[in-house]
Amino acid sequence: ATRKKEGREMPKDEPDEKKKIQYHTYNKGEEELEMIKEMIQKDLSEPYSIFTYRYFISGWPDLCYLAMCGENCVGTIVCRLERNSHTKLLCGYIAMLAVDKRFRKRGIGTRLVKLAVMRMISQKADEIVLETEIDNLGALNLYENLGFVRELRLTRYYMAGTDAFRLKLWLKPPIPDSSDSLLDQ
Amino acid sequence: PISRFTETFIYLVLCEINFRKWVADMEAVAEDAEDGVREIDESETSIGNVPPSDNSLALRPEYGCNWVEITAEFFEASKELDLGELLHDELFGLFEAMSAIEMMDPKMDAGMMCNRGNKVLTFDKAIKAGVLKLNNFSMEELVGIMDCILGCLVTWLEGHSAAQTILTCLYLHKPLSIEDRALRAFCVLTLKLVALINNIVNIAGVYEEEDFQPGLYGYGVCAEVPEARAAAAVREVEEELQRVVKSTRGRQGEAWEPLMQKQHEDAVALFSRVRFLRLLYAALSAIMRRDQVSMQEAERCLASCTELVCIMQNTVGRGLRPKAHKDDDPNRGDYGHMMGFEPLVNQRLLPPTFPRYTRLRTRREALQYLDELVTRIRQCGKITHTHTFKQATEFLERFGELEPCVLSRSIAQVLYLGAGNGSGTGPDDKLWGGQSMADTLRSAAKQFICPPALMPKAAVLNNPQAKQYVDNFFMQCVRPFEQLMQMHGHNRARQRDKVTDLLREFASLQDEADEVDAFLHNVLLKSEQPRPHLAYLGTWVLHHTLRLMLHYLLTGFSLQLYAPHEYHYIYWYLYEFVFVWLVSALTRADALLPDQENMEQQQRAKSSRSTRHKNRKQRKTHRPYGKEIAFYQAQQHLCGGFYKAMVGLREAGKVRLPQQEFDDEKVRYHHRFLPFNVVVTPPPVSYHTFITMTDLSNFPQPVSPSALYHDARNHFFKAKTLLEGITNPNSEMQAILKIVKTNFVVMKLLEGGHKNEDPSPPKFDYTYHSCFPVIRV
Repeated sequence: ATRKKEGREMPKDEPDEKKKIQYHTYNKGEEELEMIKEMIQKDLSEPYSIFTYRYFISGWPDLCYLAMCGENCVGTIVCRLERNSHTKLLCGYIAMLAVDKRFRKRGIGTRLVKLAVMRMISQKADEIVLETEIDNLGALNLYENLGFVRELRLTRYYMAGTDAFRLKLWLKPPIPDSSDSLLDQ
Repeated sequence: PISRFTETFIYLVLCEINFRKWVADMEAVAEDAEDGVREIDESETSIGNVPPSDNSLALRPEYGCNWVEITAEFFEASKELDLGELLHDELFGLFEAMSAIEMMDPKMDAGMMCNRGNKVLTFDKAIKAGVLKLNNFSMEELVGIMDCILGCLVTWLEGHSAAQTILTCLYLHKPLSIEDRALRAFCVLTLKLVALINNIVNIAGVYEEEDFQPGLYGYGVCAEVPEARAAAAVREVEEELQRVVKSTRGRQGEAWEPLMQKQHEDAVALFSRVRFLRLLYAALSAIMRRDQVSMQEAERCLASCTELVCIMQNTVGRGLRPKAHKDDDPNRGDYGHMMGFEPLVNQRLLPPTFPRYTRLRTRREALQYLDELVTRIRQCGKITHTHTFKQATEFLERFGELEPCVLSRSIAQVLYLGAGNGSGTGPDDKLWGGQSMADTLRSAAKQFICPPALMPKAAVLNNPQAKQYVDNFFMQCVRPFEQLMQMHGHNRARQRDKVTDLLREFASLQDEADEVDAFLHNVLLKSEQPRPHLAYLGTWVLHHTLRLMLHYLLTGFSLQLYAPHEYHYIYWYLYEFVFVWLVSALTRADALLPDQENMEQQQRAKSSRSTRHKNRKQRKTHRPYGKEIAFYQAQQHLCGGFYKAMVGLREAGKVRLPQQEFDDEKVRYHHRFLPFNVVVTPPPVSYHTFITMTDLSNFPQPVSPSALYHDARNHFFKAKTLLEGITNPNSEMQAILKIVKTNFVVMKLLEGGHKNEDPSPPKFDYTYHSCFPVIRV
């Protein structure tokens, strides 16, 4: 039997899977922080303290996006953009990405990444980076589809002993340093 | 749930920040608080009434005793802050706060495990509590304890912290207090083995944090017990056990009494473990002496170890297993309740963000590992059978492909390069075989291409300046070539980082080589026997540079770094440039080498008529690099085949390309080949060149996927022919031959329209070779 939907309000914590997804950056403060934290804690195995969320989100609120289904947050991305002291490059870092299990395979993750990347590009990022386990095929597919490639392999990176890839999206050609030969333009 | 502000407060309290400054800030905020805030003296604070445990880092003495409760004032003052507003210190902001853990959250607070149930007992506490025996062990107990120690040892060797592995064994904290002779001797020698391994790995210097953790957290390793005495103690125990083994043997014709049989088998079990440890230690100790006789002794010890592991594996069941508790995490094995093992005994020594515990290897896993370790050590010892630098390098390359453990990699390095006391004069600084690196490299260059200046009776030796230049050049070669050897000793993923720096060094060396060649050329042209000296040393250095470039590109495949939509430019670079240059360098050496050798022989023959006839015959067919050149050419065509195949597959729409929005092939290409920019010879190949050279309008029109598959097929066929022409192909050549044959067939099928309509992307099967796949459609 189908459930009658007319005249019946969905309870607040049950997102209506048919509703359209809206995206916006973090702008409402503490309640959103709570939603983001819950979203990510459900999904990711690494435990983060509240300060980790605060560090990224209060540092770079415009690089944090939420995917909303009505009042419910069904996906989120948290990033940072900072100049690397060694390379002097403006480096974007995708710290967390999570999408509610019931809303997978709809391109929400991809959309969130695109939004964040576009914002970082507009802020003159030179490259964007993240790490993921070598067997996280979902993440690898998502990012590689957008042009990220595997820059490095990090052996035994995670606590469990699994290897990781550092994925990178190069946005600009390398700056030739003085010891380089001339390259054709 | 604690409010966020309280969270911040509690954390700040526990951190080492300037407490007074914080109080002062709070005072400013709490200006209406009636009682004010009492000036808190640092010496009055502490963390409740919990006395520091034995093994914790002692709480600072100034954090003495009583809390002053300011909860009410605190919450009053906090009303001043807006929702989400945070209090922080200049030197302590959100970045630092990220290392915070949520107290009492079992996921983050590693110390929570210590509070769970049973108290964590140190050696002394366990003795007092009567749960730690020091003598009167049963055989089962001894075997069980020893197997657990081996399990800890193996887990440590795999890269885990000593604090969560070997140092969880209480018996290893105070081994000299153990009364049982067998266990005492075993434990003392275990610690000495740990110290020895630490030493080997540190000296070799080819480990990173993911490979090995050398820290021993201040624990002693029985340094005061001389090696000879520790070994002798174990030997005594061995001999005693051997007597028991002999006396309890079953006799022919008689029934073997069950009690005697048990005694026999227990003694065998214990004997094998004790002896294994002694021989493993002896082998490593002998290896560190780095001489021929010691290497033979090491090999004998290791051969025995292999046999002993077998016996240990057969008797692993004889070790005592403690009863499992019902709340046991099955992943933790039996260490938690095995007498003498306290997994959390060092927990407070570790930073809170450390993993909660390390899963220790089971007894069977540990023995399997030890068996493989012994095999690896015997294998890496074979580097001492190499005679030339070239052979040693090739050995390390091949050995590295098996992805060996940090200990065996380190042993290979120490054996070949030495234990390096740094002074440059000691025997430890000489390579295996007794030569200095500079002399070895001189021989290597000579063997490679016979530069006239290095030949005996060379005219150049009369010119002191020329001699000086040549000597200096080889001195300069020492560091880059040492680093080259060390690069091969690192784990595979880290090798790529090293290659980037190495290419820079070799580029400088190339300049040097070219200059010296030019100088020698001028000198020789003016000599009694005018001879050219162009690009001898230069070609030798170039050859090494090219092999580094090859290594860099190929390890990208074995580490699975390249995406299929990148294959075409990687394989193109290999096909059009790297292999072409390699073939060219070797061809030059191939041509010059016999010439030089013949000239040398001619000079000698001048004094002896009878050898003149022989020389003429030898001159004709000697092609020292024939096999190598053929193999490089085969690989070149293999890569050519892949390049054309990938272009064909792209044209056919079968390669999944990334979305256009952010992706830029030119940018990707330049980053992928960035390390090559420091190399002058060969010059880097720009993306523009790539595009120009691979422009499909260069190809005979019309270009269809079929035409490209056809080209690919031809390349694979050429590779096949070249490989089949090699006599005594090694296993790698055979594997590549298989790959080439299969890919040839696949290309033929695709050319014929097989799976034309099927848009699904091909799979790349790297089972036969980690860098060259079989294309499966």
